[in-house]
Amino acid sequence: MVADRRMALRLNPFAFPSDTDFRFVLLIVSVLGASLLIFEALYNSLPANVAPLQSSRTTWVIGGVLLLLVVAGVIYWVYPAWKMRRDKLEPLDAEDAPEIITYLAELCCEAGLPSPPLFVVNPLNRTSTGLAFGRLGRYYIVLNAGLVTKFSKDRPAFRAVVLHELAHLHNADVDKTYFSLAIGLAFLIAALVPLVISRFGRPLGDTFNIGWRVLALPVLIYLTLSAVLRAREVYADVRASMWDGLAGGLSRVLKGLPQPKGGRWGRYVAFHPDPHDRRRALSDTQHLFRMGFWEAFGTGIAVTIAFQSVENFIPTSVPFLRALGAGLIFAPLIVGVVGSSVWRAALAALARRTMPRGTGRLALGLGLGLLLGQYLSLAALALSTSKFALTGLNRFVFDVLWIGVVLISSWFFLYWIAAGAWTWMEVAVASRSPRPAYRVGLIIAGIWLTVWLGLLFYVYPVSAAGNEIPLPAPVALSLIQAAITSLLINPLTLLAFMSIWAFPLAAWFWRKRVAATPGSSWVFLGPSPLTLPRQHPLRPGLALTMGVVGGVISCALLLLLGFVLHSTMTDDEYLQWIITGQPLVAAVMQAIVAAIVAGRVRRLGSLHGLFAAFVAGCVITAGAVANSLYYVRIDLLLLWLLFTSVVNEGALLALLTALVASALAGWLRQVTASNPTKTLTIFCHALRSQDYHTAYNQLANHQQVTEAQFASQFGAFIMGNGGLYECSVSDVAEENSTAIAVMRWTLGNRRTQTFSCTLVDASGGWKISLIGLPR
Amino acid sequence: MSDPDQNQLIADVARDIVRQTSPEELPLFRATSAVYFKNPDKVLKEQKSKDELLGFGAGEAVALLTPYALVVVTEVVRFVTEQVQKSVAAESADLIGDIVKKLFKRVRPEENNVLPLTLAQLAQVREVAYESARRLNLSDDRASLLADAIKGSMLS
Repeated sequence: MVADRRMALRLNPFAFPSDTDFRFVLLIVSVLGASLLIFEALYNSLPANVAPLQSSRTTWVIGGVLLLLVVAGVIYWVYPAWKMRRDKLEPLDAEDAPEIITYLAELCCEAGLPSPPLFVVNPLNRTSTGLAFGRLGRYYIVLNAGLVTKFSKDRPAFRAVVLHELAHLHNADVDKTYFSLAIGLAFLIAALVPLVISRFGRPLGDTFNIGWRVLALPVLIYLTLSAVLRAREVYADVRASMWDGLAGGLSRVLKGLPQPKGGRWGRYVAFHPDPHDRRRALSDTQHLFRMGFWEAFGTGIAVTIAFQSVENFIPTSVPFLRALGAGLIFAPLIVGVVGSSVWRAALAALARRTMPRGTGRLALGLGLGLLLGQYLSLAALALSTSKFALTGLNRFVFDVLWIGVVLISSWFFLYWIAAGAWTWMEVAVASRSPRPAYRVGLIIAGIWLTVWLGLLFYVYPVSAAGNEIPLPAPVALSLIQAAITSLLINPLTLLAFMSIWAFPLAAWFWRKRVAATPGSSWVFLGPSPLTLPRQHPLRPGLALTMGVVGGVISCALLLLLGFVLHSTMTDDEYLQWIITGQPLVAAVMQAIVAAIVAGRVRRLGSLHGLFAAFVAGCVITAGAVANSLYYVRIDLLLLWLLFTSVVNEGALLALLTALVASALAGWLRQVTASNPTKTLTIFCHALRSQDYHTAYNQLANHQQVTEAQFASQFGAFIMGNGGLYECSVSDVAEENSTAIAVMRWTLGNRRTQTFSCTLVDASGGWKISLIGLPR
Repeated sequence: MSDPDQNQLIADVARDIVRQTSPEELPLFRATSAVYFKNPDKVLKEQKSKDELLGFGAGEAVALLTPYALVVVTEVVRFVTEQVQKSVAAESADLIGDIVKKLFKRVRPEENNVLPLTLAQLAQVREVAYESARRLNLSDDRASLLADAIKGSMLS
C-alpha cells in the first residue's frame, strides 16, 4: 500500500524527451564535429603533389564524414549476427522450456511491445542478468544461464530483469545504444587511426598542436557515450517498475548488484549507474529532472568544436548567412539538450513547490563549454597561426568582451527558458500533455538562439583577421556604435525583445483553465489526486496599466521639453533631438517604469517590467509622433526609426533596471517576509515587554479569546513566575501553509516552560493558531 | 560405440542427472550440451560477455551443475566402456557400445536385459565420478550428489 502510494507520487520522466535521447544526439554531434576537425587536419596534411585529392576540401571532408557514417552503419548492422556467433547464443526452445516461453510471451504483452523480441540463451554466462541487443527490426534479449535458473528459484527476480530488458526495447534504447557504440568504433577506425598514421614524420610542433586537440575528442566522446549508457539504464528501471510495481523484485535485484569501483570520478566513466542511484530512481524520480552542469558543458563543447567547421560548408558567400546556417544546425541541439532540461526542472520545482533552481549553474556549464569547445576547434588552431589575428591589448579586450558576452547571454537565454517553462508548466499540467507547451517554447528559443549564434559567429572572425582594426581607438568605437545603432533598429531585435516577455506572460490567457483543473493526468507515474501548488499570479494587466500611465507621463515630459527646446533650437537641431535625444529620454523613462513594475510584481517581475517598458515605449512613440507632426513632416521610415529606437533602446535599458529592481525587491521580500520563527519571536518579545496588544495580534483566531482575557491570562502567568526572562524557538517544521514549532520560555524564577505551537500562513503572514496556554 | 552414439548417451545420462539434481537448469541443457560437444574445454570456463557492460549490470554468478554433469558423465562412460572392453575383449565395438548403453538402465529402460554390475563395480563407478567431480573443484557435497546420481542411473 505504501509502495503504491510512493509510486503514485513519482514524477513522470517519460512526459519529456529522455536524457538518453539528448545524450545520443549529443554523441552523434560530438563525433561528427570531431570528425570534421580530423578530416580537415588530414586534408591539410596531404602532400602538395597529391593534386587530385586537393581539388576540393569540401568533398574531402564531407567524403570522410560519409565514410565514417557508412562504417558505423555497417558495424551497427552486422553486430547482432556477429554477437550471436561469438557468444554461442541459442534461441530458447519451446521444447526445452515451454513454461518459460509462455511466461515471456505474457511479459511482452504486459510491456505492450508491438512485436516480441527473439529470446536467446547464453549457456556459458552464469550471471543472473540479461541483455537487449539487435538492430532495426530485429531485436534479441539474451537470458544468461544464471537468469534462466531464476525462473524456477526466484521468479520475481527473473521477472524484474526481463522487464528491465523489455523496457530497453520499449524505450527504443537498443538502436541508440548500439549505434552509439558503432559510431564510437567507426570514429576510431575511420578518423583517429588515419590521423595518427598521417602524423608520422611531421614537424613535432604541428603534431603537438593538432594532437592535444584531437586527444580531447575521444575523451569527450567516451564521456558522452558512457552518459548515454548510464541514462538508459535508469530510464529502463523506471519503466520496468511501472509494470512490475515498487513491491516487485527489481529493487531487491538492484540491491544485490556490486558497487562500482573508482569512487566519485568513476561514476562519470562507468557504463552503468551506481546501483544505489538506480534504486533511488525507483521510488523517487526527482533526480531525473535535475539540471546537470556537465551535460550543459558537454553540449557547449560539442557545439563550438564543430561550429566554424560546419559554417565553412554552408553554401553561401554572405558571411552572416553562413553563420546563421550553422546556427540553424546547432541551436536546436542546445535547445534540445539544455532547454529540455530546464523544462523538466521546472516541473520538478513546481511539484516541490519551489522556484526552478540551478539555471545559473547550467548556464555557466553551457557558457564555459561553448568557450572551451571553441578553443579546441580547428578554427582556434588556425587563429593561433594567423598573421592577421588580434594581438596584445586588442586581443585582451576582444577576449574579455567575448567571454562576457557568451557567459551573460547563456545565463540570460536559460533564465528566459526557465521563466517560460515555469509559467507554461502550470498550463501544461492542466492539459493532457506537456508537449504542445514545451515544443512551442523550445521552438521560439531555437529561433532566438539561431539568430544569436549567427550574430556571435559573424562577429568572431574579427579575432582572426582584425589586427587592422585599431581597437579600442575612437575609430573602432564609432564602428561599434554604428553596429549597435543598426542592431537597435533591426526588426529582428524588436521581435527578440518582444518575445522575451510575450511568451512567458502569454500563459496568463490560460489562467481560467489552470484554476479550474483539479489535478493532472500525466505529471505522476501513477494516478494521483495531488494538485500542484498555486504560484503568485502573473500580472500583465498591472504592467499594461503602469506602462500606459508611465508612457503618458513621459509624453507630457517630452512635450514640455520639446516645447522648450523648439523655441531655442534650429529646425535641424530639433530634428536631431527628435531622432536621438527623444529616444534617449524615452528610454530612461521606460527603464524607470520597468523598474517600478519589476519591483512590484512578485512573479517574473523583470519580464513584467519589460512588458511595461514596451507599452510605455509605444505610448511615448505615439505621443512623440503627435507632438512632432506639428513641427516636422514624419514619413513611414522616420516613424519606424523613431518607434524601433524608442522601444529597443528602452528595452535594452529596461532589461538592466528591471533585473536589478526585481532582484532587489525579491531580496527585500525575503528579508522582511513573515515566517513561523519570526512570528513566535515577536509574540514572545511582546509578552516580555508586556505589550499584550502586539502579542495578541500574532494569534490567528481572535474569536476564541478576547484581548483582555489574553492579557489577563498571560500576564498572571508571567508575573506569577517572576516575569519572562528569555525565550527561544526551535523544531520548526513547515508544510504548505501550516507549521509546528516549539517555544521555550525561561521565567524569572528560573523555571522553563515549553509550548507546542501550531501556526498558519494567513493573508497577513504567519499567525499562531494553537498554543498550549499555561495554567 | 561411435562418437555420436556416445555423445547421445552422455547427453541422456547427464540430462537425467540434471533432472534429478538441478531441474531448474533443464531449459539450458540442450544449448549447454551442444556447446560442450563442440568444445568440451569451453563449457567449464566462466564466460563473461565482451559487452556485459551494456547488460543489466554485474549480477551474481550462479553455480551451474550441467557443465560438470556433462564432464563427469563423459569420464564415467569412458571408464565403463574400458571396463566392458576388458571383460568382453573379443566382441565387436558395436556390441560393447550396446552393453554400455544397457548399463545405464534409467535412461535406457527398454534395454535392461543386460547383466547388472556387481556392487564393487558400482562402487568403482561412483568413485570415478566422485574423483572426477572433485578434480573439477566441485565441493564435496555436490561431488557426492553427482556421483550418487550417476550410480543411481545404473541401478534402476
